[in-house]
Amino acid sequence: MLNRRLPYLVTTATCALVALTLTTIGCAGGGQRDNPRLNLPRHPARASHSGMISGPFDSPQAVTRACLKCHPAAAGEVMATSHWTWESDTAQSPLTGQTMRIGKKNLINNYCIGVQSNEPRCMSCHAGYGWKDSSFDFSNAENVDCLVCHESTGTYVKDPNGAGMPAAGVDLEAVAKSVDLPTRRNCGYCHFAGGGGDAVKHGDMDGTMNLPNSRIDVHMGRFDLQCQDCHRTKQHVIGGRLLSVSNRSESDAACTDCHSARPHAQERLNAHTDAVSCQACHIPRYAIETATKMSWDWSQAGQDITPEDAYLYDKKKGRFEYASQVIPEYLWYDGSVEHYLPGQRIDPAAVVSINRPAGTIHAAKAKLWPFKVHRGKQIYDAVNRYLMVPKTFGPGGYWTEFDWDQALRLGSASTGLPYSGKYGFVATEMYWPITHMVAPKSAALQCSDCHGANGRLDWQALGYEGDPLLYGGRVQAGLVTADLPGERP
Amino acid sequence: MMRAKTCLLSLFLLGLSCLLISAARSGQASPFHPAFALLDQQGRNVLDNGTAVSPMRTCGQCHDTQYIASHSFHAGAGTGGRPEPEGRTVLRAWDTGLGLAGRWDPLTYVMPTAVGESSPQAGAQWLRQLGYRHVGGGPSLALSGNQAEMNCFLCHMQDADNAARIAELEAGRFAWAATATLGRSGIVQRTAAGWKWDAAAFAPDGKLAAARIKLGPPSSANCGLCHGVVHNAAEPLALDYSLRNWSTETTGQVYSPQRLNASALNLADKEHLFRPWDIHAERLLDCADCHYALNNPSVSREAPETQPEHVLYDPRRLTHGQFLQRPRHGFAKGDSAQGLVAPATDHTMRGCVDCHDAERTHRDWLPYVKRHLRILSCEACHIPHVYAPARSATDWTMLTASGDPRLEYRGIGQDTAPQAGRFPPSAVMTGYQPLLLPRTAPDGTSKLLPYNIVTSYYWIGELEPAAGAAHAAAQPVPRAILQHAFLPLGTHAASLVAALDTNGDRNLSSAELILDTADKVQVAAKLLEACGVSRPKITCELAPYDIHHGVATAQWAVKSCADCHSADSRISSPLQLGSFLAPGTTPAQAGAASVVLAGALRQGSDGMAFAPSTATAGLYILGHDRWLAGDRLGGGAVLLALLFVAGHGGMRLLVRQRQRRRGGDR
Repeated sequence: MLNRRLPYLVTTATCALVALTLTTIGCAGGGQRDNPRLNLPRHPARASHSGMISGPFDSPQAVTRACLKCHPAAAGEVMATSHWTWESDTAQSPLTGQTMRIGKKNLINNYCIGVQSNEPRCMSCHAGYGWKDSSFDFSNAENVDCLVCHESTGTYVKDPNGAGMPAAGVDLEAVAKSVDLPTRRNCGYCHFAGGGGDAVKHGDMDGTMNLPNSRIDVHMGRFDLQCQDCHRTKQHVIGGRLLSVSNRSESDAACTDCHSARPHAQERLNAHTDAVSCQACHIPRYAIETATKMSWDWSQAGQDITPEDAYLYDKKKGRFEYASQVIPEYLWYDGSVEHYLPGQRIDPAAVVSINRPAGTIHAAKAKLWPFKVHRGKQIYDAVNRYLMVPKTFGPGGYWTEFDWDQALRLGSASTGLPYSGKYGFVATEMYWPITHMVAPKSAALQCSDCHGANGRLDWQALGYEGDPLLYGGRVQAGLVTADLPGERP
Repeated sequence: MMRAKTCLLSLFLLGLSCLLISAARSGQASPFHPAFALLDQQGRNVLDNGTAVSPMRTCGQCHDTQYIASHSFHAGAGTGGRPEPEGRTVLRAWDTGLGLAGRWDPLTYVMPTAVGESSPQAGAQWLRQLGYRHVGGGPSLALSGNQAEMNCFLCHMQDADNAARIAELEAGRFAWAATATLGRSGIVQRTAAGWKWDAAAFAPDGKLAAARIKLGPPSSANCGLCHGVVHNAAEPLALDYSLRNWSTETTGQVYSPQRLNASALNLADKEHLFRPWDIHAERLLDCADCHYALNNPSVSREAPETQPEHVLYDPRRLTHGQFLQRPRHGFAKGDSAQGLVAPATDHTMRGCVDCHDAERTHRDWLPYVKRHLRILSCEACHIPHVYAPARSATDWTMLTASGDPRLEYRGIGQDTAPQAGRFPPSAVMTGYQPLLLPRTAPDGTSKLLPYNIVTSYYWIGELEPAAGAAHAAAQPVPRAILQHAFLPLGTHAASLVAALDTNGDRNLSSAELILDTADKVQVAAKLLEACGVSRPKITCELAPYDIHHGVATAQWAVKSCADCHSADSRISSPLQLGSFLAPGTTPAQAGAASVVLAGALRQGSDGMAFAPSTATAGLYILGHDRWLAGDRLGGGAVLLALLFVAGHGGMRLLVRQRQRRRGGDR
């Protein structure tokens, strides 16, 4: 009897269970679920190389040759990326009108100013060996530095003045045997130390991210995400884009790669996402623990001020300002950027924007983004009225001779930009979008942080008629040229 | 047509009110306020003779300041006799009114000063001592010889200099209190010779641009100057404990959008406290959003009991111009246990349910929503914990060496008291779980509301009898007599040291200054009698202070059924009161009688505690309360059901067996 009824009982119980499960899911869901972990990329299986590689190696190029025996395509892939070429995009040259390739290789910044003529120093962050001047052979695969990205001992360092060569004393066999998937420490070797020291350049990336807690960055601290989890990599092409050296308008790394576009439980918060970037609220401050450089005045360099202080004054470099726990500046940003290009005329009486983010309140695509704005005072040709790259490092450079005129002549020889013989100093601004140091959601901005009496946003300066909480958002106020999907008219 | 007109009028009012409100929210001065001359009491420009500004004269150039002052319970401070409407308040024999001027408070220990009965010296003393809590006008005006006018700047000026105002009041320079309030604006400076106007800040015609002193609607920060800590700045919150921050001192309430873990306080488990101090502050609500001027045409409304059924919105109200001329400063209010003034305006404020649809937001998960909402105030669940310490007891029965009462606080380590207003940084602030007590509304309904109870101990006794009276009426022993009796030469009397010094170090520490035995009481009483106090007796008061701020979102609210429906339900969680109960003393409730101390006092080794009783409160809490008959009935029902199931099953089994047998026979 029981045997005859068993199928019915099982069927009924299963149906009940399924119905219960569906009901539970329905109740719990209540909307679009934000489950970012499901969207994280899967990493390839790790393989220990300690038994595969044997030394000794008499040069770092010998290590690369060993790598290429098993990974013959790897060097070619790397050599096609901007990590090797230090250029990626194209722009029209203000001098010649011709299309030129731009990148870190030839763009001017307002920290150390420029790479050209200073290669031996700057190339300590190049993923290659021996780029000491324009004669560097970009087609030689043996010069690809596999180790800087893949070694895992933490003992591999480059000679700071050695054009990318490893420092003396590095045990090449040991580091070669240790190769593994890149970690934050590998990427951070260069990216945390941009500008010549920890936390100097970016503001939202520094050495605290090697072993961060969730207060520094919730992704890396709480969930141990590595850089390539967001900067997804295929054939050594690493996703992402840096506003200081690229003018591409689209980034291939975004919060929405993992998160829903409307991830908040409160609809009022979701209504912000058409006009406000995730970073604007979820990175309330940058330079959390380590101070970052906020300004650099080259015009003060060359003075014998004692004692010198790495955070205040350096005779070689001038005067600095550093800050930690910095509240970002907020700008409309549609993803594109207006770069200062070599040879572009400037107005010495005005502040020169090195890489002004494009976007206004009227552009539907633009969102409010947080930026670190690094303010500088740097050298320019007073007759030709364009920014110049002085030779600072090496023989004849400013750091040796403290002679701006000579430094500019030597720099001019490398860049090809004519130098008139007269120079001055002009105020500049450089913009660094803040995308790392994401705080836990419990520390994200609250209503009062922006809409309160002491809110951090200057609504009218941003183009609003007033606080949108009281005057309505940009769509309601008719400020946007095209309707945004999902925003109320 | 009529409907269209009503809609248009509503839209206009809404737009105008948005403009007015936005001025306050954005932290800007009112965009409409014209330039004006600062006038002195004689109506002359203050620049003419360097005289003190008169707010009544100055603001009275456009606003009806006489109307405003006469309709302000902040100015009136409960003067006007001793109404005791239908036993709604518990007044003491020596109270002469319901407010600051008439109701004695053991926390301040300043005797009420009945206007017209006091000597000028006594009146000035009252103003010096309590002026920090009074806006001026009303009793202040009367007691100061018409000098301490109602101070409009205190509430309507951003960055009002309250410290300078209080300093002038304490120094007895009452006429200059309003001028000092302008101290931070830069239009007047304090010099060695007094306050000096900066003529350069004024226009050539002697007028001052309103934006120069940022006049506008009152912000929460203005209200906080007298009522408690309001913190809108980005700097980490630090708390100053004194009666100047009244609500913070008495309850631990803080009105701030800042996250708890962003404060400078040493809060327990701080890392995980990422909620704001008050969600309404975080959502940018100002005090005046709920406590609005009752004739404000933007928000005023008729009481439901007087509004005709067929009317949803009555457009007949003041124009904004009329309102700005005569804004009624009797603000919408609730029914506070200790704030007894203006009972006629009780329950006029915008409450939780005026903005939130509690039934709708809770029905998805909370069973018996209506039943819960009928019994519980919103605050009962949405203020589950007060994170800042609060005063728990004030003991005037024995003075410390500095002549002050011994203070106790809850929500921080025992015997930890603030030094110069600040708790020591090493003291961990645990906060406390408020007591849930039933409060009866005028319609007779009762809801549980969170409270702190502040216990006060003080001596009462009879001093000189009044002329023609056989006996003097008992009253609190004046502080001067307490000091003379207990600290005759600046140190504790020898007899006190002999009786109280338990560790034999010849000094009386705070822990030793407790009259917890009859012998100790006797020693102290004798000292008072020696100073002319007849029949000294210790009185113990329990003053419930209701808690409405510090509201949390649903994430932090009480949600677990077991929090209430269990043996250790928070509804019956006891609250530690004072550290002792003097022998022969029966604590009495102080304040509004609408709050019911439903429960029992318990005295243990660690002092006195109040244990709420659900039975006394008329509540039956499932999972917490037991009703024996009900339990038996339920058990019986279960047994009967089991018996029925077993009987039915057994009978079916029998029938089945019989059918099988018959089948086998065939």
